[in-house]
Amino acid sequence: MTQQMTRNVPAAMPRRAPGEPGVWAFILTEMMIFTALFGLIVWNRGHHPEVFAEGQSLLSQPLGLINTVVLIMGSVSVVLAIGATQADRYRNASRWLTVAMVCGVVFVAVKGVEYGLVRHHGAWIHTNVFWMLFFAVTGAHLIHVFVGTAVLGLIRPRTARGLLGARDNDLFVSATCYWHMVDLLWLVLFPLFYLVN
Amino acid sequence: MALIENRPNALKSVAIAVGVALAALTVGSYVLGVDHLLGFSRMAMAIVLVVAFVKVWLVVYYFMDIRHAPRWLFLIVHGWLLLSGAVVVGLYVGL
Repeated sequence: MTQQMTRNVPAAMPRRAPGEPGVWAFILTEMMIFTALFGLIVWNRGHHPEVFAEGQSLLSQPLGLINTVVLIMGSVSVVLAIGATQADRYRNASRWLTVAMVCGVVFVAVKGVEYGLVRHHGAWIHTNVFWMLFFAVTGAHLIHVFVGTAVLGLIRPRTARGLLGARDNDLFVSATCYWHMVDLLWLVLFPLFYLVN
Repeated sequence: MALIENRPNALKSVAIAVGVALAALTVGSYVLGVDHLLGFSRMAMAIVLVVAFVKVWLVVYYFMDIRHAPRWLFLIVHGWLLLSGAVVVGLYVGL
């Protein structure tokens, strides 16, 4: 009887990875690389506390805070874009992706201002271990912001057209996951470079 | 996967609630780190780092929708989160 009842219950929908599984292999690899970089930063901070304190004193904490909030706003916009596609409001989703891309551009602009201020103080990648890590790691992250913004830009026209292609929805979700990865990496870099001393 | 479920209003509420939580935790960490409300204590800085990984968890769990992902992906992402948190907080406290 139980078996009969079980047979009549529709099978649960199999769980799927958000987006393309191959993109997740890429995202997880990137996250592991950044784990090594996080460890490198904390290790060097422990061995060169004076160098880190001096370097940190030249950074603008408010600019770091602004950039963190900007990336969070970008992530919220991306989720709102997903919500809009669920309601078949693809034009609306496209607009939310544009908002997220603007957040990416603002992040890059603020980072440019910050690099300019730091360079004005004479610090550069070869100055000491703090600045080497700062420019190398935030520079690598900045490249990811460029790529994340570009990927959203690539999927935006397809979103506006209604994600009609067979793989369009997976590509759309993959692009949003990549953007969230860019956001979460910065959520760790911000306290490591700007707050912890 | 919830992100492709047909519940746009619920998703909108989650997006806004998690976004506000992330912003509040960020400002809280900033105040703790810059204004040194608890002094320059190692404990205060360790709290800032732990809060950072709580924020990362909010992003992966709700925004990347790992809560509805297959078990293998759920375990890998949470394993990464635990490993990274242990490396960062462990090295900070230990060195």
